This record gives sequence, structure tokens and C-alpha cells, in this order.
Amino acid sequence: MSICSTPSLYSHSDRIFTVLVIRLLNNLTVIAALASAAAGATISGKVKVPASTESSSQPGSGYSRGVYSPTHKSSGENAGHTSKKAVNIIIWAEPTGDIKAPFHKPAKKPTMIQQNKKFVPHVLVVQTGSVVDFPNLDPLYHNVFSYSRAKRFDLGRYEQGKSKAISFDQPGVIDVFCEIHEDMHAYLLVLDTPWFTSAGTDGSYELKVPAGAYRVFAWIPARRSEPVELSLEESSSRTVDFSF
Amino acid sequence: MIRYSLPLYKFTFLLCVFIATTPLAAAEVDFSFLTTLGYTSLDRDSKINTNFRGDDPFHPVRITAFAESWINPRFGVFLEFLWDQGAYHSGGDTKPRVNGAYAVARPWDTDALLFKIGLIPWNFGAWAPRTYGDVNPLVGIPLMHHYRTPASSSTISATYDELRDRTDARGIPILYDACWPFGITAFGFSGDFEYLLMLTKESPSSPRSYTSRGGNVVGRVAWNPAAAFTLGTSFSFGRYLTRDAGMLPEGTETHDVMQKIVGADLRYSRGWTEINGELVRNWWENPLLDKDLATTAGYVEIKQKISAGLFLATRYDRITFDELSDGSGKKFTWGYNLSRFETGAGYNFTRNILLKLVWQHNNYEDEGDDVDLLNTQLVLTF
Repeated sequence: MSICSTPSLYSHSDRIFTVLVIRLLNNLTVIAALASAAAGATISGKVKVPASTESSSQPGSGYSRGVYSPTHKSSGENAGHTSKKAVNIIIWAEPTGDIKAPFHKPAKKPTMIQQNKKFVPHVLVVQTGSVVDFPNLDPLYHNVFSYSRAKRFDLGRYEQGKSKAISFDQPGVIDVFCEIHEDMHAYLLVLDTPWFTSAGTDGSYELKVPAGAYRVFAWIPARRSEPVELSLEESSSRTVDFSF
Repeated sequence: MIRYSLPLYKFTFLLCVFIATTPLAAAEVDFSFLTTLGYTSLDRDSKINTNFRGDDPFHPVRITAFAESWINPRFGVFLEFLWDQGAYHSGGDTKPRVNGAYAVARPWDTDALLFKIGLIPWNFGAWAPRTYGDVNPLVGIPLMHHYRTPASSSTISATYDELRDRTDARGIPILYDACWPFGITAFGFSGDFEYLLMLTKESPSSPRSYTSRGGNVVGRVAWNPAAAFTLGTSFSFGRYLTRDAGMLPEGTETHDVMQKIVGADLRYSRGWTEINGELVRNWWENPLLDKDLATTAGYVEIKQKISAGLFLATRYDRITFDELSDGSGKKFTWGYNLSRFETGAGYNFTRNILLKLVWQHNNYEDEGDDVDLLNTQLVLTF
């Protein structure tokens, strides 16, 4: 032991045991929170969005400022031509009372792929602290980057079959772009809660949460609703509708 | 007072086509703007970067407006306007001009053959898409695409002595990137190759409406074997003299006098590094001299990102003029060989706001004269 180091009060095996116990308690907390959510309360409702946000069509988006991106340099049909896309509506509940939002590690690593010169999915929701993969499936270079306040990053140019990952430690909306293909754009929604869901095509949603007090939000690309404060008891349900 | 450098009837016609076709097809028109605000110090009065029509990437205010509309998935229409503080044409007024107005057609469900028709961008080499302030990592553009050589499209030197005496004249560039021609481009992609064939009314040196009656052909083939790497080769062949060019020998018409250019370009990019380079060899025929006025120009540019939004860039650029012999047999270069070193840094505050700080050093090799420019440029896109 170095004379400068702090004398340890515990042996090495004690420390390992302590760490394991702490991790076990954390895991139990998460499991308990999620289990209570499963058996807890329900928030449901409908989100009404303006018709103009439901689709975006620009047939020739493969061409810009004298540069045409050939479709055969994509991994699928109709590349370079943005087809109609479904609106992405995200609803989440942030606890305001005693309940602490646990970190819920997803079964599958969150992934935003680059395919047919598009980001898929167009909106990806992750919890703060998540690591997201960005695999490139197109037979050309992409360069994923963002200058958003919640996270500035630039993954550089990389080819088909390669993937780069980055962690998101601050909540917020992150606009994701490709430096090479200016029409490529997606949203990464980083939330401080594991309780989020997306609405169906008709705008309806259902969100299971543990009993407690919450602030509920709805979000569509580039717009967030005003929060709705509510308190839920065990096995109760509430209807919260949003309109943009 | 505002005047348009494009003949009014052409401009009106193009605008009418654009306006009439777009609503008929119920298509959306996308408008976007690129603005550069700059401040230049050191040799700020130098015209070394100034184009024939007075526009200059180092000018304090430049606004480019774009209008694009896809009438249907097979047909799009594009307009590009430029307003450059200090640009002029025939008078001294600052005025906006129509830089480009063309249609893009993709007639079949294949990328093997597409067309651009109208006032179209030059596609010799690989520079054209990178000329915009938000893409160009520096401020200046390569010498081969703008530098005004002593060659003239309206005055032909009758002797080598006369040519020697105009070594410091400012005539036409090899390729006039900022001034687009009327014409048609057929282009396409197949496997690892892309090609284009461009037929224009004017030559890359002097794309003016009153240029000779002849036409010009530009061709390019590029090989893209891997995502990181593109190698291209281009040629151009056509008439460069204006209709009123005098001093032609008997039996020679302006459309008999040619400009020929061959070139190669290279692009490599990977991770945070981008390398671009071009090399051209150019010949202007002179019917009164037995030798062509030949030039060679090239550049290598490296852009290196340092972190998200922050980058450094450097370009080494050179143009040289062939040696000729005057009446006494003395050798001379018919223009001043010029080398340029431009380096700088840029930072993207957002995707739409870019700040660049650039130093450009120009050295006239034979004269020993230097021109230095230090420029801060704010690039806004919206």
C-alpha cells in the first residue's frame, strides 16, 4: 500500500460484497417500480394533431443545390424520395412526488439505423443514461451529428456495416442529422423517466405507471404540450387528452 | 436602383414558367436562403478574389436565395438568385442576379439517365457543389475556378511581345464557377461510375450571353469504388471568343477559336477527415500565334474536424502559365504564376449558423508580391 493512499476500512472481498448488495438493491428497486407500474395506475387518452404534421412529401428530395443522390446507392426501394410518414406522438409521465424514476435498461439496445438515406425510426425515445447505436446499412457514407443543446456530437463518416454508439446523459430533444444527406433528419427524445409510450395512428394511447403524482406531457416533432399534473391511486385510471 | 444582369425577357420567362407550373401541379415550393456576413482586413482592397461581374466571396454581405419545387417525382424546377454587395455588370449599381434557373428531369425509373435544362451549374470537376459558404470550409474558391488570367475573350494579342505586355491584365478565368451557362446536361449513375455530358451555349471561361455563336461540350466520368474514395476526370471543348472579338486573321471566325480543358479530381473522406483535390490543364487557342495560351492549375484541400461543430481547413492552390518567347527570343510566362495558401477554422453554433476565421496568403512567384487577406465570416442558412 502506498503511504499516500487512504487506509481502507474494508477488505477487497468486503467491497465487492457491498457493491453487489447495492446493485441488487438498485435492481430490486427498478423491478419493484416496474412491477408496481404493471399493477399500478393507467393514463390513457387521445392526442389530436393538426393535419399538416401528419405527412411530408417531397418527391425529389434526392436532389439539392445541383447535387443528385442516386437511388441505387441506397439499400432499398424509393430511396431519395421521402414518402408519407406516420406522425410520431410520444407521451410520458414524470414523477413529481415520492416516486423516483428508476433507470430501466431496455431488453434491446436502442438503435437508430441509417437506411435508404433515412433514419429509422424517425423518433427514438430513450431514458437518460442510455447508449444508442447508429448502424449504417446503406452502401454509402453517412455522418451522424447533432448540435442540439442537450447533446452535441459528430460520429464522423463511416461506411456500410459499421456502427457507432453514443450515450445520452442529459434529458432533452436532440435533432439528429446526416452531414452528407441534408434531408436526413430524426429526433432523439431523451427522458428522465422510464414511463413513456407512443400513440397509435388514431392518436390514442395508454400508459401504465405506479401510483403517485405525475406531470404528463405529449410531444410531436418539434412541439411539446403543456404539462398536465395529476395524482393516481393504485388501480385507478385517468383520461388525459392533448391537442396541438 | 435595381437592375437584372440576366436579360429581362429571359428572367421574366423563367419566372413565369416557374410560377405557372408550380400551382398547376399543386406542388410545394421550398424557399431557402444562404447569407454570408464578412469582415476582411489586411489587403482588404485587393480584387484578387473578385469575379468578372464584381461578386467576391470576401465581400461583406452576400445573399443567395433558392426556390425549389418538385412538380411531380419526375420533374423539378430550381431558381437561384445572388445578391452580392459590390457586384456589378454593366453599370456600377449593386443588384441581384439570377444565378441559375433550370429544370431537372428523371424521365424513367432509373438513375442511368437524368437531365438538367436551363441556366445550369458548371459540372467540370468536383467543385460546384462545394462553392456555397456553408459547405466550403474556407472563404475563397480555388484559383482554377475564378482567377482572372491575362487571356481575353474579346482581344487577341497579335504578337508574343503584345502578350508579354499584358501579363498583369485581368481577363478570363479557366473555369468561371460563379457564372452559369445556358444548356443541357445529361447525367447518370451506373454501378461505381457516374457520368455527365453537358452541352452549353458558352464556354467555361466566358459564359456570357453574347459569347460566340459556337457551343461547348463538357464531359465527366467519376469512379466511386468505395464510399471513402472518388476519382473523376473531366474535359471541356468549345468556343471562348465573344462575337465582337477583333483582330482575327482572314478566313477565321470567332467560333473557330477553341478553349480546351482536361482535368482530374480526387476526393477522400473518412471519419473526421476530408481531402479534396483537382488538377486542370487548359489551352486557349490564339489564331495569330503558333502556340496556345496554356495554363496549369490545381489545389489540395484538407478539412479536419476537431470536435462536434469545430473544424480546421487548409487549401494549397497554384496556377502557372506556360513559357513563351518574345520577339527577341527572351522567355517569359504569359501570366504571373500565383500560389495561394488559405487556412482557417470554423465553428457551427447550430446547423444554420457557422462562423469562420480564414487567412488567405497569395504569392506572385515571379514578382515577389504578396496579397494577404484575413476574413471573419458568419454564414447563416434558413
